[in-house]
Amino acid sequence: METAMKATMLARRRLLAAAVGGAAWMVAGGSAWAQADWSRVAVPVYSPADILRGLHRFWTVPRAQAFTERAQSLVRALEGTDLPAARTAWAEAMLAWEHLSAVSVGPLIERRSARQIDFAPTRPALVERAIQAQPQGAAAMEGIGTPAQGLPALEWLLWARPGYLAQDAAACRYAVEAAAAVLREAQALLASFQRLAERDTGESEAVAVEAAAGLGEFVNQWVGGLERLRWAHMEKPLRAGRAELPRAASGRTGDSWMAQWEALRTLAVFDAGSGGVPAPGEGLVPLETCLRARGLNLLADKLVRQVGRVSAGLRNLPRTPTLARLSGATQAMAALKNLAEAEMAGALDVSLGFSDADGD
Amino acid sequence: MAGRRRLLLGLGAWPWAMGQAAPAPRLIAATWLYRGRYQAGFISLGQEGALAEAGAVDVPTRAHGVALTPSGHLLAVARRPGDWLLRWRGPGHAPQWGWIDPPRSFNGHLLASPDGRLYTTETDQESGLGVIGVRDARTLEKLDEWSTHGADPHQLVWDRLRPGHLIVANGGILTLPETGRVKHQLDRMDSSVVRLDAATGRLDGQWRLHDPRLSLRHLAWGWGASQGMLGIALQAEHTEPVQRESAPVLALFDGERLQLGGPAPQPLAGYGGDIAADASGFVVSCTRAGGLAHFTGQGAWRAFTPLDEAGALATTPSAAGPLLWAAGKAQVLRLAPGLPALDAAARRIDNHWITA
Repeated sequence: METAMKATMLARRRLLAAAVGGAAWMVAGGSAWAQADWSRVAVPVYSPADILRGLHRFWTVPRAQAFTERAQSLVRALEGTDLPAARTAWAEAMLAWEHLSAVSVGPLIERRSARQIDFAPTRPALVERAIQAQPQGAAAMEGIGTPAQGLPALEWLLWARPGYLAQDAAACRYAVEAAAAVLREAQALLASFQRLAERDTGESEAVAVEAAAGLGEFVNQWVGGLERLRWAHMEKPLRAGRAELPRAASGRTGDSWMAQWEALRTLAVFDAGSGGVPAPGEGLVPLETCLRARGLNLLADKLVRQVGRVSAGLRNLPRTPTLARLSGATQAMAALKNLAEAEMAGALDVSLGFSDADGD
Repeated sequence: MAGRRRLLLGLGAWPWAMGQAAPAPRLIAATWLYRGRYQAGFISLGQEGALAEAGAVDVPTRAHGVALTPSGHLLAVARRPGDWLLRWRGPGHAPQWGWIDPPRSFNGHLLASPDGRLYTTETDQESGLGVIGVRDARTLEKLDEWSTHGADPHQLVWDRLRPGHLIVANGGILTLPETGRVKHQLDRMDSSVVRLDAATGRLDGQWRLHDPRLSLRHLAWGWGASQGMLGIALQAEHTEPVQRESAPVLALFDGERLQLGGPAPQPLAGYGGDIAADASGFVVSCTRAGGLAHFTGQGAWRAFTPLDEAGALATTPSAAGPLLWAAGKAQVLRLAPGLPALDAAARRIDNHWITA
């Protein structure tokens, strides 16, 4: 079966190479790329391994690096006594995390990092109990439940109970320990993503099979991340009316949404300012470029248009959003998800576990 | 329109809910996709040509299972991993929503009891283990929860053989909230059916098939001579496509033994989407094989009826026994001689529907 799969892949490569054959590589600046006539642009053929290599080298590793740095800054800030500085450090760490985790692939899933870093809702009673327990170090923090850890618990301490940090030494020590636990997880993620980025990308069948699975995971998690943003982070809290919007205590809800969307958008559409489509393995290959590499320009154009509608819907969100005010964005997101499920995934030979098109 | 409203206003006083003789059913409760919107509502029976909607409400994400309360309210629950529950009286009434928060999520099926309780299958996302949520069917608030003694609990039904008990199908597949329905650790699948005391949740028996890669998911009691037999629709999770393609789709439980149905003479793609009983035995909708697999009440093969993307199954009474309604991608079959297919009227009916 693997031999047949490989033969199919080779045949597809030849077909796609022929589809773009003869066209010259476009060398143009950002504005020219924004106006690109994709029917005349030679887009290289990317194997799943090429796409994954680009994803890890040019997206997950830099994002994990940035998150690790912000987590380090957060620990340092909490060790000090400047509350505004600590709040700023928290917000920067949170946004770096949103960028990294918007599309959760590889070690983010395997390690279930979101549970460690971003479990919600925080249970204030558990945080207070954890403060009293005064855990020190990684082993002691393992005994503290996730509802009392991570960025949401720190947000609660920094905004809902700032007095604790001003007056209670035990609370300060716990905040530093909780931030250190976030940092440890960030470092573990970075190391794992670096290993993925440096992984052998030879031509063996085993690599091809693994890369195909990795591409499937990437597309699945992109769709899942889009739906999580639309429903779990935007619509549901407003419709359910009993839970606060994410990052409400810090007043960073809109920033959080935009950070997630920025990650989803970057992974979806070609960056006209990037200087050109990357050679295989030499840059991030967004979903749009994956489609164009297969000669699917019409579908790629549809994807770009729908992504643009979401971006337009998210522009100028009010500080206190309402369902009605969000409806333009969320409806565009739902349509984007439908497009991804109904047309894009199949075009990329990916089966969607998140899909609404299968049974149960 | 006025006729529809009168019809729906009568929902709350259905005679069957008051213990009187069941009248001819008039409605199907269902969920569907219509012009890009997920909806739950009612479909009026007795129409020819095309399905006729008799009221619908938009739901936030794709729904799965439906039920009716004795008071005639439609209940629908989100597909797994789901976070909403709907209770709706019908047109002219506001939908009532129930929500579930991490670390719990709905698994897509529910069951209403005559005494006002509601049972929902759920997952504890921290452990991955299954839970039965016991709720007040009026407020939707959780009153209690019990272990299902397995993972991935899916459909649940009343135990006809032991009144006051539930039968729950543990699908046995580990999923994580981070990855939706992506299946993990299939080599450690552990599917089972369990019998639970409906008042206390106490485990009263657990049964497994020999093949651990067969997920027990959907349940229907037999009819007539087979009324003591529980039919169970299976979904195969074998790694090898060849094995999955030829996997069985039916198991049977007689209250003491759980066993596979007989072999089929054609591949059924190892996927049973829904199950119902008719006068001849059991019918399993084989969504991926494009049709309905018919078995006797003892599980022997009978026939195959083509239906593109066959899904939801329900029955209504007729002189010859239950009349089967089967929803496919674009049409609905009524499996009786001389009854033409109905157009689905642009509605993509979801996996399950029930007659009211």
